[in-house]
Amino acid sequence: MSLVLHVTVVLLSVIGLPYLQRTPAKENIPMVVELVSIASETNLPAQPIREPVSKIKQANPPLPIPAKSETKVVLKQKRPEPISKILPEPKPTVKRDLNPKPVAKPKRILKPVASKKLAKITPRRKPTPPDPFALVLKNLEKEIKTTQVAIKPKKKNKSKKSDFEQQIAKVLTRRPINESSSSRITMTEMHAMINTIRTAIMPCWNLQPGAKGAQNIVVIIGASLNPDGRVTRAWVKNRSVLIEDPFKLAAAEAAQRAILNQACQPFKLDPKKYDIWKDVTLNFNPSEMFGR
Amino acid sequence: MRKNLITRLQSVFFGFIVLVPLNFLTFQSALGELRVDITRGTVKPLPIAVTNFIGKTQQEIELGQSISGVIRADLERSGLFQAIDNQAFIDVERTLDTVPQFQNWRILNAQALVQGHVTLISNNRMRAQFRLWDVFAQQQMIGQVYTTLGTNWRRISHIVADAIYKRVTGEEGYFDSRIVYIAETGSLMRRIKRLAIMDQDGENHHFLTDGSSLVLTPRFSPSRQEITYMSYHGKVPRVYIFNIDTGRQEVLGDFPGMTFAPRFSPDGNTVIMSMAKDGNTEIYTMDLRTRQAKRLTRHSAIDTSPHYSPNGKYIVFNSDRSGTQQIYIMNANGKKVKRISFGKGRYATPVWSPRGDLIAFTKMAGGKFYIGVIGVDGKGERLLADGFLVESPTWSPNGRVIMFFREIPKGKLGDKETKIYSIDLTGQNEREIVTPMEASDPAWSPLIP
Repeated sequence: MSLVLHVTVVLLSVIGLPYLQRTPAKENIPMVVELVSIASETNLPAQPIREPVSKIKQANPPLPIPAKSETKVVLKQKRPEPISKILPEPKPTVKRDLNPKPVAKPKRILKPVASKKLAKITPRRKPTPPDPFALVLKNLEKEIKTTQVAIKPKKKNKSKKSDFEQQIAKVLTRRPINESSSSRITMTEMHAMINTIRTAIMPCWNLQPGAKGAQNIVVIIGASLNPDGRVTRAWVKNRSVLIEDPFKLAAAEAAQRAILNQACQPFKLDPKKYDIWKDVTLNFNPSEMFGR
Repeated sequence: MRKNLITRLQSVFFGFIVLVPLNFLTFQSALGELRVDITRGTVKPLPIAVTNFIGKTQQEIELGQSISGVIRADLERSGLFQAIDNQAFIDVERTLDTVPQFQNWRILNAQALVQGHVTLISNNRMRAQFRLWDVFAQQQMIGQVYTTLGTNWRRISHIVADAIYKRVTGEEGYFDSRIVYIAETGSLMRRIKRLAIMDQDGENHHFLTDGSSLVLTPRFSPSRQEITYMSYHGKVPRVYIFNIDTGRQEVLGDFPGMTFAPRFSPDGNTVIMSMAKDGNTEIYTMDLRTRQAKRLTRHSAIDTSPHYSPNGKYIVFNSDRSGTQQIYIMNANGKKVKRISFGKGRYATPVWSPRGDLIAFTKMAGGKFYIGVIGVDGKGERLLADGFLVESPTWSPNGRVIMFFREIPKGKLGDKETKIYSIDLTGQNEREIVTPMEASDPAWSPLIP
């Protein structure tokens, strides 16, 4: 069976690969030829230039109207000759409105909404660049308040009809937990699970706020659960990081006690979804309690 | 036809090379764990069961009960532990050599369990051993044995309590320490102020001076059994050093003016203090080995209440050089003076935490006094206690608790009552420190060596 499969794979790779390379070439070449014939007389670069112009038009209105006139002037100037010169000129104007170059593409999608909304959306994207650790903290802080908000964008993605490549991209970028939806779990169900565990543990997590640097100590606990929702085992995952400092070790043990405390168990979770919650990782991060 | 076939083959191939790894990815991810972020908890004392230390003879049993009582009281007084009533214990183990029946302690919601054993050995000596268990994790957290004179049983109890405190909270304990303070008796006009010393739990109280001369601002040496303080011996207030072991006291230096607000350096070799002369107050140091004095500040304003940082590199003090009394930090050599307090009101008696991260102070604002803490960088000011008059903050050796005194108006003729209080760094667990008489100006010792 495997021999047949391997032979098939080899054959397919021999037959398929060259065609994979050729077909796009075949399709593209005639297209290029057609375009070349037009572009030789007119100016192919004009199209790529028009796009940024339209961006500027939509991005600029809220701010300086003169920018429009500038871009128009730029267009007029394009005709003479130097495309290379024309391109750099609009860039500075664009930079102000469309700060990060890679962000420019999503803006196009948002254009139809309204030019004002563009201005609102840009600041939302600005906070994303911080370092990964800051992102983790940020998510932790916001998670309780904005669980529903977090779900919405994901739903949007689902509703979109996407092509095969987009699906691949989705699967690749999706978080591992979500993929356990192979066991038929929705995002809402998963958030409900998370909330159930979180609200159950919070009363049992006894913090030492007066300890030195208490607000910065993040403890990661791994736990195994029984089908009845009780914890059978809990261990400190980042113990090696914490063990050197007695403050941190104490914080780690306090977190471990929280998850082992039977007063806060069993977690009322759906037994049918046991596969999803039989192993849990808990991030104990007190920074929110310290107003961070 | 051929083109269609090729396209089909192509799609089959594409599907094969892409979907197979994709399925693999999905399988892998299915193994991923559910992640839960816990960002809020509670702040409450840890339930702990402290069993009576086991003994064989009646004397050992009584001693074991006493030791456990002191440990229990120490832990409870910290505010971080809640000792479970012994009457609630289900089945207490009769030996330290077996693992406890954790389910019996879990029912009581005991999160930690202390078991001990005490044995009286020859020459009035005793041996005490204990084990601290994590009830939920079912693991021993710490186990130690001490041998000492039987008369030292209180100290042993404090040392055990310190070990438990350290293992559970991660910070050093402070129970094996002492408090020196000013014991006050008599009417307002004829007040007698004596230097007194006691254990941090109020036990072993005794006086160090007879009250014939006024004594103020006592401070412990970090390295020796010595206290420095200001006394009006004669008519001029001077800084003195008192040896607790020998009872000997001596004037520190022959300064031309009034010296006051003394404190030891972290190594105990230097005393830093203020000297007032010709209407100006400056900060001086005196090397206790060479008896050489050195002036640190030179300003027309009043610079006083100096205190070294735990590493000895910096000095915090208060000064009115900006117009109002504020807190300043400077290098140990008197250079690079920097103001750190900018709040409304006046700040006084800054005291650097042994942990090094905070400075405790007295604040006067809006007709009230406050005890507060502020970061070394001047940020995060918090006011912990208030009153008609609260003064003289002093840190526990671990920098977790602050002790201070509060003057409470009493009656109509300006009569008042002064008591010592302690408060946790978090602003919780304010407690009165019971003293035989009125008390002020407490100073916490380092851990007893």
